[in-house]
Amino acid sequence: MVMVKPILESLNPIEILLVEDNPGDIRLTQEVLNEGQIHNHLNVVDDGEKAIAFLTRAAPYSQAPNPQLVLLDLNLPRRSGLEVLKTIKTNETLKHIPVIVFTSSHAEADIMSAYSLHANCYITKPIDLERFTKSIKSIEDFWLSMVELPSE
Amino acid sequence: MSEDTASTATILVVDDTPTNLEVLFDFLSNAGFKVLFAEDGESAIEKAHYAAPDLILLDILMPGMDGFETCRRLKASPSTAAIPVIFLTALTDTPDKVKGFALGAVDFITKPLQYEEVLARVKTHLRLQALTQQLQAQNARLEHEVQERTQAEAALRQQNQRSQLLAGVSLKIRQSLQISDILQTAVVEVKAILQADRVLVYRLWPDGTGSSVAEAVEPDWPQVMGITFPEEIFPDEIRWEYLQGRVRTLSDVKLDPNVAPCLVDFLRQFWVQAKLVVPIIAQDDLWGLLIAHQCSTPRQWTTFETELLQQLANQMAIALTQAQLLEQEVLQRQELARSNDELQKFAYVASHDLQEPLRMVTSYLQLLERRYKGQLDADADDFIQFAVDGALRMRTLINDLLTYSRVGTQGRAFEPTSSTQAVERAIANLKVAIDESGATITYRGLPQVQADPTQLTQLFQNLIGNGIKFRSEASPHVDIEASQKEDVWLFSVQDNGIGIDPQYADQIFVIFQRLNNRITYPGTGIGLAICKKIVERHGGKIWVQSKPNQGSTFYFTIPAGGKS
Repeated sequence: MVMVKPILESLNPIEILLVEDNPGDIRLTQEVLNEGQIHNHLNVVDDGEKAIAFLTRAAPYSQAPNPQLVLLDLNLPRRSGLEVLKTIKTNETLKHIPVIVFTSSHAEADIMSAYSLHANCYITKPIDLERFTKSIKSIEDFWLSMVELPSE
Repeated sequence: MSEDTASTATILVVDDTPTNLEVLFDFLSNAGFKVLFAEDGESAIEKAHYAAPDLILLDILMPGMDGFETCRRLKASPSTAAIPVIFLTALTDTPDKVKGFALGAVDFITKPLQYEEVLARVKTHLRLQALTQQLQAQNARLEHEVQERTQAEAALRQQNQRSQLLAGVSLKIRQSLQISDILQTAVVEVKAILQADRVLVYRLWPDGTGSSVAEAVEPDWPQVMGITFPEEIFPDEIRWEYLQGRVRTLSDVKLDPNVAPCLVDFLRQFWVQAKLVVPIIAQDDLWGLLIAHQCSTPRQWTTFETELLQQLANQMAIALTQAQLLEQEVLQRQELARSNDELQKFAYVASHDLQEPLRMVTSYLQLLERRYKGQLDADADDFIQFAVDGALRMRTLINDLLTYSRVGTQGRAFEPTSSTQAVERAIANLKVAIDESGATITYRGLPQVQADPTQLTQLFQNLIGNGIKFRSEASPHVDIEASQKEDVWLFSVQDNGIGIDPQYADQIFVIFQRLNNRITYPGTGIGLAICKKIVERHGGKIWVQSKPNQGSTFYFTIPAGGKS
């Protein structure tokens, strides 16, 4: 069963940053998140450079909200997911933000590098929808309901 | 010599008394001898020189030069020394006889002459003389034979020496498999053997030009190496002669009128005074030349040296041919390994990258199914179902392909691995299938082998899995055993399943080969191809023995000492 947070909190949507270049995955993540119970606001950027700009509120993202959770693909144009991860985890004002690496790579080297750079967890994208849904729901259950995230 | 020939012998009679001469002449002529005479020592010596008589009867007491002095002179001259001399004398004193023998006389006949005695002594000495001559001839023949044998021995020694040199150099040449090593070894060795000032290998390139490709040269003389010579230096007729195996020797450049002016220039440039050139013919083609130069002096090349160089050139040709073949083979093998490697990487990348779009197809089809099932008509639901099935099957296929390509690309190093543990891990991975089918798996006495543990598990998992999947009516049973056969472990995985028609025994190991229908026996046809690849990576073989409806036994080997 999905745990539901008090209604007051759910009125204030949780800000999520999705760093993903595949439109299919972006939409799929949106769809599955929308099927869920958590009131959230999904911000999307499609390359590593934009992700860093968004997080540091550089132009054109000066008005961007502070994300409370980052869903990060590794295989990205311009700056790789690992570079984005390194930027977040070495930045004093960003490093508290939980980063979930969400990628199709099963490579040992990628998993090792991600954890070395302090990724909070590493999830490989399941191939079929049922499992994909389960992964997103698990993220929701754990990261958006169970844990206390630092406030903005 | 026979009596007849003895009687045709020539006898020189020397006496100062004409009566004596006359009597002896008549008597000896009647006896069948050819008789010459002289009346004093001087004319006796003169006649002995030009007529070369077989015997001389010499009077001692003569005016002027006496018999002793005449004899001494006859014996002193090489052309007359061998003619036996019999003294005719009235003297019977022993000292005179001793003196006569000391001067080289063979006998004495005392005057007054007894003619039968003269005849007997003459014949005896002629016979003796003939025997002596025979002996001398035989001696000479023997001496000649000894000389011939000595020469033959010397030739044999030389031949031996050549064989040894050749064997030594050949060995060194053949030990080098690199063409450059072969050439360098050859020039260094040949230079040492011939004590030449410069030895080089001249390579004739296919475009007609040539250059020195290996060179050993005394420090005092310039190097030919590094210069490319134009086609003109090597006209077709010379090329043709070399191709026939012709050797060219030049003992003194300055004295040889047959040397072309351009060659003289070339030779002068490199201070060459004498040269020896033999062709290197490899695979019926004039590969190049082995050349020895003498720069310090002219040099007469011996047959020994010429033949040695020729034989060395032959050895080089053999070594070069082998090295060329080896180089070709190495290149082909490298090319094969490279393309194999590329193909494996391609398969890996392709199957990995195929996952992405496939994930999209599968996920959205499923989303469609989830959101709209029952809202469209029945056909639409069927269509979606077929599309989802197809996408899922493709996913399995890609995963299997990925596993297959990973055997070669992502394999781990071999380590001592317990095959019992590998079987147990395989059984654990197959738990669901085993529980569902009620299968029993038995194994015993499995050895420790040098293997990649993950791949060994995969191997057992595929074979056991097949035994369960291709089950007959009876509940599945799989039995695993191993025994050591010489230097390999022979594993067997026996099941009681549907079996395989022996005519397909080889086909089943080919990737994507399927024998059974998809609905009853789902699968991609990669499982056994993966098994084969794993076994081959470990240096073993895999095969099957089976009959339809009688179960199958899969055998595979793993080298007992690890892959060599």
